[in-house]
Amino acid sequence: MRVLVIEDEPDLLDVLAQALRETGYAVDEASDGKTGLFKATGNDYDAIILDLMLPGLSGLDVLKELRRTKPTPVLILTARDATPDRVKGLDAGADDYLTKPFELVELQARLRALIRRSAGQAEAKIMVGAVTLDTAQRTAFLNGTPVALTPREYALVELLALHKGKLVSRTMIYEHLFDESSDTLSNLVDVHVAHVRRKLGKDFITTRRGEGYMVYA
Amino acid sequence: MLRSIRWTLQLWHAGLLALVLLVFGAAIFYEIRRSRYAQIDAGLERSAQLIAAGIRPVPPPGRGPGLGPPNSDRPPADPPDRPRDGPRGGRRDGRGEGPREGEPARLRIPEIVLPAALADRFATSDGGEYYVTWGRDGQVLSRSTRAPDVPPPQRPANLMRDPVGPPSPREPHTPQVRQRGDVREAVLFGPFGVNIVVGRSTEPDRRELRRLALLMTTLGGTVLVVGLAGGLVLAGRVIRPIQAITAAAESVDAANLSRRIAVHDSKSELGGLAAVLNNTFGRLEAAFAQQSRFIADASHELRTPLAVMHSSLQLALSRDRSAEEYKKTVLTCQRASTRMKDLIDSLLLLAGADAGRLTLDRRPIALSHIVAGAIDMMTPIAAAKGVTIESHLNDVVIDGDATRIDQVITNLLSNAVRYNREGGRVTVSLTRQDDAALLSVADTGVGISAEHQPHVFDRFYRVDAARSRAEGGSGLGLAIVQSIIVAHGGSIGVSSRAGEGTIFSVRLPAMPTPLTQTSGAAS
Repeated sequence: MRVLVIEDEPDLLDVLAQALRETGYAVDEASDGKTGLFKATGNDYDAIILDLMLPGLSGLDVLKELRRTKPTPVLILTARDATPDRVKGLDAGADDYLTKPFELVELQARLRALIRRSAGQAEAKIMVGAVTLDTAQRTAFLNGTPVALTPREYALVELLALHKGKLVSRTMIYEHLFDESSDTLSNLVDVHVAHVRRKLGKDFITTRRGEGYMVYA
Repeated sequence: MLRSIRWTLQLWHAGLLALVLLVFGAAIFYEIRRSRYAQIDAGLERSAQLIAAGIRPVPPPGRGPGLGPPNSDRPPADPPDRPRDGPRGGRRDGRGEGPREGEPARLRIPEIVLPAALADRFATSDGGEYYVTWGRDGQVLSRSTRAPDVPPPQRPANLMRDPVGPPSPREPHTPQVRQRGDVREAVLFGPFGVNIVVGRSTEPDRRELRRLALLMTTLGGTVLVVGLAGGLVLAGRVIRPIQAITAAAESVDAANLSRRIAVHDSKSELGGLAAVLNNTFGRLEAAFAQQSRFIADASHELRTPLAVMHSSLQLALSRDRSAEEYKKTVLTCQRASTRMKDLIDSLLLLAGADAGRLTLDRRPIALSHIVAGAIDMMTPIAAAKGVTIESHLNDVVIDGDATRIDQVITNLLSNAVRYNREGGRVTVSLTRQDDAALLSVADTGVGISAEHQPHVFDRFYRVDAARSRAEGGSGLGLAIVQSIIVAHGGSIGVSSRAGEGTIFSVRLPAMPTPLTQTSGAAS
């Protein structure tokens, strides 16, 4: 899962990015509105965390501009807590609103919910055949037994599970698993797929040669 | 309070109305009374004079008519033989016709001839008019039938020696009017020593006057009652808008400052009062709005560093970390807490300045030294951005707080450097103009557009919403600068052209030119 954090306070940006990376997200950073909008429109993020008070281009302007092209889930994270501000933010196209100071666990839970809902999945548990994913605990179960996955392996499984029954291209996997600073090669995707197959069963992931991968419901 | 105004008004109204009615009524009453009595008196006097005109001297027996008035147009006649002249039943001639033997001729009793109309009046008068005449000897000469017992008037001494022959019987003395109990009488000391009293009872007149007084009292009372009722209604009408204003003003409170008093007639005094109150509420509302915006801004400014601390601590504690990572967290928290501390210091300084409690450690300071020092501090920072600082400083001594003044200059300089363009220039000049020190800090930066200029000294006002925040500004710098300068009795202004640069001009009261400078110039 790849998210974009747009926040002009450098320390907060650092903390947010680190916290999300440690949870297994691929995180891109932007410290002003223009850069944020550029990245948000140029990539398919699973979610965007957006501050409202931004230099250059305000958060609301970024949001309005983004909504003309992309339905990426946006969570507004701001110090403005007045009701009119929340209403304005949500009406401008935000999917959620959280005020500073905030609890990291709440931010992450809201982020998970946003990503889940945008994939049309209302429940926190996703079942794919014999495999069950608990998105809250970021844990995969095979026939009820927890399976030890690395964060990136889990992210791959979750991405495929959220799009179960649909083809997921290698590029898409690459884009959702690695952030902009990664210089890993795209064949790393194949390595992760091989690892997941070893842990969750050979048939869990089907390969469409030359197109990508998919899991069947 | 309201009731008392109403009743005070009513009381005054009642008092004034009663006084006016009383004075008016009394004036009318006494004027009518006076004219009525004057009329009575005139009638009595005329009657007395007519009687006096009818006095005929009676010639003594044996003497010619020489004693009679020479100009008498009537021949003296025997009184009993003159029925044509005698008042019917009213005349007693018995005394008058019998002059006593041996009396001096001049004591002879004159006879009185009443004009017929007058005699008729005395005979038939319903008003109780009567007359009595006395001769010189105090004997009653004649009287009307209805005449009561009247004490004979005392002839004044100067008339005692009235000669027998009057100056003229047709020019009798002026009658004098007197009130004797219920009757009013005209007393005339007539010719030939005859004293005449014509009187009438004033009882009917007084009865009439009493009726008039009663009528006027009733009328006045009615007018008073109607007037009071009208006054009560009027006072109520006057009070009602006041009550409306009071009710509206009471309903306006801190939570509901947008309510206003409905102004019905803005030209009336109460309309004016309502307008004034509305105005005041408006200013209060604006002040409250400004205050709550300030608080919202302040809390917003505090939230961001707090969010940094909160989330970086949570992140650090979410798993075991290396010493390096903990150190990074601690440093992050330190930066955040420093920012919060600075912000709170600024807020406290502004709050103190608002309350007039900005404590200044004032002493004579050489402004040029402080400016030069601040420039020295800023030069490396400016150099890093390729900005050069030029200065033209004259010696000016002010009475001020060196730390605060340094804060002002440093703030202006750092703004001038921060918002300058790469390779730009900052020009600082300090001059003395009369009794003021003029400091100007000019930059060649982006400038401030006209729409923002009036607000640059507002708290938390940022020309660019978040640009200064990333660079550490809180949006309070210029507000603090202004507060400090105002506390020193000075002023600050800004002039700017977008794209060309900005000039901040500070004016501070200078101390008198030191003597050393003068003597130095002399030597």
